[in-house]
Amino acid sequence: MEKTKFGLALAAALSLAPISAKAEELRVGLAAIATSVDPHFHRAGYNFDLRENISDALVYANGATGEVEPRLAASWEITSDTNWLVILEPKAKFDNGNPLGADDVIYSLCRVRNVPNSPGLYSGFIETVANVTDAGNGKIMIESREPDPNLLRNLSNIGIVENPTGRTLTYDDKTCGNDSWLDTNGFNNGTVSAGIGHYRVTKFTPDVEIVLQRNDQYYGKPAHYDTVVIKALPDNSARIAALLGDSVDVINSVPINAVESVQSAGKFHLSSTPSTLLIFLLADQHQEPTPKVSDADGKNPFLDPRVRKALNLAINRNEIAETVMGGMAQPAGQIILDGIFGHNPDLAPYPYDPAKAKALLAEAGYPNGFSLVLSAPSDRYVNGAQVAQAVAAMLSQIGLQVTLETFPRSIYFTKASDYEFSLYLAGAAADTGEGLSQMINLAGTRDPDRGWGGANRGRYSSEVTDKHLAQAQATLDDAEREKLIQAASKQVYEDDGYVPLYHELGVWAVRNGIQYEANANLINIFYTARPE
Amino acid sequence: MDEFGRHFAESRVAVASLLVSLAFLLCAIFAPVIAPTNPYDLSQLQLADALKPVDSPKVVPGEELRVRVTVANGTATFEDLPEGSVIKAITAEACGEKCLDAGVEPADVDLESLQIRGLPPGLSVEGASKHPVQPWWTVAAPADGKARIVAEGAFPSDVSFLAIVKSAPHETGFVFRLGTDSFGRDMLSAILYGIRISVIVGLVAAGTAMVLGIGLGLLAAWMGGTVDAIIMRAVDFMLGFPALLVGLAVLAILGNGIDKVVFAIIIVQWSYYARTTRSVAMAELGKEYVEAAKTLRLSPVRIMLRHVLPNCLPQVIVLFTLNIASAISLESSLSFLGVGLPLTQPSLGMLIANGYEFIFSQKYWISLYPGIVLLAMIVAVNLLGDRLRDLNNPRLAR
Repeated sequence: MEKTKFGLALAAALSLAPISAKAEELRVGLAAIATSVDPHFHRAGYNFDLRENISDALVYANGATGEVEPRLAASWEITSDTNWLVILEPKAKFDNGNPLGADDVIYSLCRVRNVPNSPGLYSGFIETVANVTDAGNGKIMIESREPDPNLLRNLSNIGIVENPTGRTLTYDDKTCGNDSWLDTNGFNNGTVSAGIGHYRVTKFTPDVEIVLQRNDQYYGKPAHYDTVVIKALPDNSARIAALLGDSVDVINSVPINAVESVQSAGKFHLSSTPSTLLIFLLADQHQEPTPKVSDADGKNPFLDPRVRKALNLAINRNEIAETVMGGMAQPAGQIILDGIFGHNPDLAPYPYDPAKAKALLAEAGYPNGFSLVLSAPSDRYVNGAQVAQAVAAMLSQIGLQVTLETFPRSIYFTKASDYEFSLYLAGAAADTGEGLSQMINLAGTRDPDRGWGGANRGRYSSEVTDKHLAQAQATLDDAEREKLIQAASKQVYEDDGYVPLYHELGVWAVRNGIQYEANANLINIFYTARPE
Repeated sequence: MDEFGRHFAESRVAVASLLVSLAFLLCAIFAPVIAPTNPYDLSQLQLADALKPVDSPKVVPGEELRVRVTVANGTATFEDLPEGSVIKAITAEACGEKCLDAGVEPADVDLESLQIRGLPPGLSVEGASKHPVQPWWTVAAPADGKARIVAEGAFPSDVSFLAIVKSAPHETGFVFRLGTDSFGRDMLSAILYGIRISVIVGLVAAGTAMVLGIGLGLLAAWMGGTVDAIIMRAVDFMLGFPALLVGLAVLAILGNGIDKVVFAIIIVQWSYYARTTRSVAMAELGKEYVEAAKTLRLSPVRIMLRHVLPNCLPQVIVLFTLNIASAISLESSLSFLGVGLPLTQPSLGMLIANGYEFIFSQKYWISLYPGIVLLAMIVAVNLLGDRLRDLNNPRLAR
């Protein structure tokens, strides 16, 4: 009897052993992986991912709960309207054992504007910072130009790296008197540490694989998994096949057509949340003539608000969200998602009214429509190319002659930033977890120096919107600020500046037995993943 | 010529492949006439027809109503229904303590589906399929136009939900013989138009590359020396790159479109012709008839085009036939990779790529049929080319 029991226990132990050993590694297949280990290299969703796991910022704006959580800033207080006293985490240490100091924070904020060869800087996040100084005793004083309620949320996107200069820089909004900055290659090949994070990068192969190792000296709650292997699986079918074939445990942006096969496999569950990622169409509202429109007498038809309104009325958002997106999207009538700070509940969804759209086109002087090339990225958003095609069909039903062109994302956004498109499809999320930054990024008049309109590549511009947004940026009172953001949303709505399509649902497919957090900002947090 | 025809016909495979190739050519020329619909006309597409299997009838979608229903103390209130609607009212009646029947009035309306959305937690709909993520329950073809909402615990006194009623669609006489893709495009028409694109791309690209390649090859053979060296090093350079890579690079820069695909293929293929023509022409240039022409002081252009070129043509024509097949497959590969043709004008490669997305959901017809057609076309043209090569090969001559 005793023997049998022992035998059973042994068998149980043996059968458990490989599982528990394996459970220490989390293998994730992502549609897009980080292009650099450098936390300040390129402001793009897939880089936020890695940054949050390897390089802590002062705080973390939790996309799952909406709260701002302390990270390298252990606590903070607002000493006057524009002054924030931040107490740094005393236990935080860099890989070489050096404790975090005020000079590191100042260096990192200075570097944000001075990353060599960056395709898109993070400088929009530190736009309002007027000065950062060492306040002694492990404290720093951050001064903003104007009262800035979202100061810390913005800084939650800036990873803090170690200051290599050996001196404390004096903050300014140019070079801080320094002319030699850490090079991105150093981060990528592992000679420079990316900062203090739950994980460290042990292997970085662009577009293929990133391997993370848990940082056991981490000051906060440790991550569960020893290693995380992040594989780049941009192809939908390949991503699904990798999951079904047991080579990864988690995949993001689950292709809609594959939801059924994931469910019927019986080994996986879906983790999902409405995301702040807005997929929109944006018309060129600046150039005349505009590059991809013809048969319009050399005019840019999108400068006429009636034509923009026609676009909005021509789109059957319910059908796109339910049929093309298979229900994995919420039809959108404004930039900010319902439930996110700044959403305006008074704005009615755009009705679907192709007849009225046609009439508006005729009124604007295009009774026979005009020829138009709709541009879309082929590999950036879930079902993006299909959505673009459905949109093209809807626009041709109001009498426009639409052709669709698609580009891989590696060149698409460069072309968009060079204003080569007339009507393009893109998406942008609320990087800070609230609506103001998303509005400034999308609806603010494009001004790279000021960090405004970073994703506004159609150059929508309205004085009223800008005024409300600028005012909101300087308003500390939550209720009042929300009113201003809502007013800005209303203005965009009335201008038909944007053609919002839908907010994507973030959907992850996760192997049963693993708990993986769905994040409203669509970033992947590995350190909260745990076995169930 | 008769003799050539007889030799050719000795191989039944070759005759069959010639017939298949001709059939494809006819399909390409008459695609707009044969095809039941115009797949490029976006305004004809309706998403209601999307992803229909083989031999499904085209439908005119039924009426769709979205009604917010509030049930308080056993009575249902709902927003006004549009006038002229088949459905006159939404009903809700209790069918026990933990149960509520939601239905439509009149109850005998033929419904395609009744969807209930946004029920509070703890409630679900009996016999309905739930959306994998959203709180949406769909009852397909509900009996008596009713859906039964059941509660795990006590039924809440106030419930509000969105009911989406779809009345049954009407069938039209039109049938999708090979099913439809995810945009409701008739696959048969799309395949016919796809053949058209493939044939045009194959012929135009291989033809232009041939003219360009022959010209440069003859020039290299005649001039010799530096010009020859420059052209041949350029050929080496081009042959050093994989064809697909060059195509990808060109299209990534230029964007998509049929003209750009043709351009990319020409860039890839001219070098084959140049090299072949040069080597054959070099051999011909040493022959007596060329010397005779030279002593007659004929112009170099005349010697090359009238005397040398006709003797190079057999080899070049073989190459041309084989290159048509490789041009077609290169175009398909580029379209499959998403850089070839615009999405709204699918070629065979793009149809296959679109269907590839649905392989995991058992919607095989989107990829399968264009795949078979592409396969048949490339095999036929290749076999044809092989036969021509065999006939040209003196070692195989009897």
